[in-house]
Amino acid sequence: MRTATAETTDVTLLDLLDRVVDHGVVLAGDITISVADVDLIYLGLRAVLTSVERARELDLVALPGSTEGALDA
Amino acid sequence: MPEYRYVYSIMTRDAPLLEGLKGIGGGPVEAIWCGALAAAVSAVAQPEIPPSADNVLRHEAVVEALHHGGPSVPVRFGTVLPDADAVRRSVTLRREQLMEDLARVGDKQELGVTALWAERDEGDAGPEGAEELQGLASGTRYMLARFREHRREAELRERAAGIRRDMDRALLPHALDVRSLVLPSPGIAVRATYLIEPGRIGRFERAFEELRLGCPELRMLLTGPWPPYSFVTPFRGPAREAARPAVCGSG
Repeated sequence: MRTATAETTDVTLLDLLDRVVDHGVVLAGDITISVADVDLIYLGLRAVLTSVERARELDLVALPGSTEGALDA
Repeated sequence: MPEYRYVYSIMTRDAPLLEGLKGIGGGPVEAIWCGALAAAVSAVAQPEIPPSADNVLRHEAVVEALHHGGPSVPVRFGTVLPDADAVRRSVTLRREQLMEDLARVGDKQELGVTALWAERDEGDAGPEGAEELQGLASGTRYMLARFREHRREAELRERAAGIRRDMDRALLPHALDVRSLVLPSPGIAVRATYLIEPGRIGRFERAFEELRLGCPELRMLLTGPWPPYSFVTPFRGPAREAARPAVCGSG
C-alpha cells in the first residue's frame, strides 16, 4: 500500500465524505449539504482504506495547504 | 470581515487541545467552554463551507487529532455558527445528549465494511427474454419487464440480507454495535459500520480478512478506523435556537 493511486485516494474521499456529511453531531438544525451523484465507485477494488492519519503515514493523502498535515507545530 | 465559528468536535472541558492544530482556512483550533463541555472550533470567513476534498480532509484531520487526544464526539461537516455565544447556546441545548454520547462512544472508533457484488447484474432480459418480449403487445411487454425487475430486486435483496447476516456473525463478536444498510444501491450488497473498542481493531481486521477470503463472489472493502460519526445520537428535527441566552460556564 505504499504506492499512492488516484483510485485509492478517490475511494478514501468518497467513504470519508459519506461519513462526515451524513453523520456526526448536529449542532445547527438547518445544515443541508447536498453531494449529488456521489455514487460509490468501489467496483474493482479490494483496497483496505485507512483513517486520514494512517493515510498520511502511507503517503496516500496530501492534506491541503501543507505537506505536513494539520499539525504545523 | 465577519468571522464565524466552524465546529469540529465536542469534548469534555478538561480535554487537551493540541497546540498548533490548524482548521479549515488555516486558523488555529480553539476551545469554547460551556459548563463541563468544550467545543473545538476555528474561525472561518464564510457561513457556508463547501464539501471540497480539501475541506473534508481538513475537517477529518482535526477531528481525528482531537479524538486521539482524548474522548470526543465528531460534529457533522459544515457546522458553522455565527459566533462563540451561538456555539455555547447550541451546546447547552444538547448538553445531556452530548454528555451521554461522550460517555458511550467518545473513546470508541468505527470501521466501515462495504460488500459489493463482484459481477454487476445489469438486469437485461437477455437475448431469449428479448425475443420472448417482442411477440407481445406493448402493454404486456411493459408489465412483464416491470415484473421481472421487481423479482430481480427481491432476489438481490434476499441475497444481500444473507450477506449481512454472515458479516454480523463474523464481525460482531469483535464489535460493540453495528449500523447497516442492505442493498443501498444496485452495485452494493451491504454497507455497514461497526463500533469498536480501539484495542480490538486488530482482531476485527483479522476477522474481516477471513470473511473476505471466504466470499469470492463479493468485493469486500474495509475502511477506517474513523471517529464514531455513525454512532452519535441521530438528529431529531430542526432546532433553531436563535436569540436564547447561553446558560453555562464562562469560556
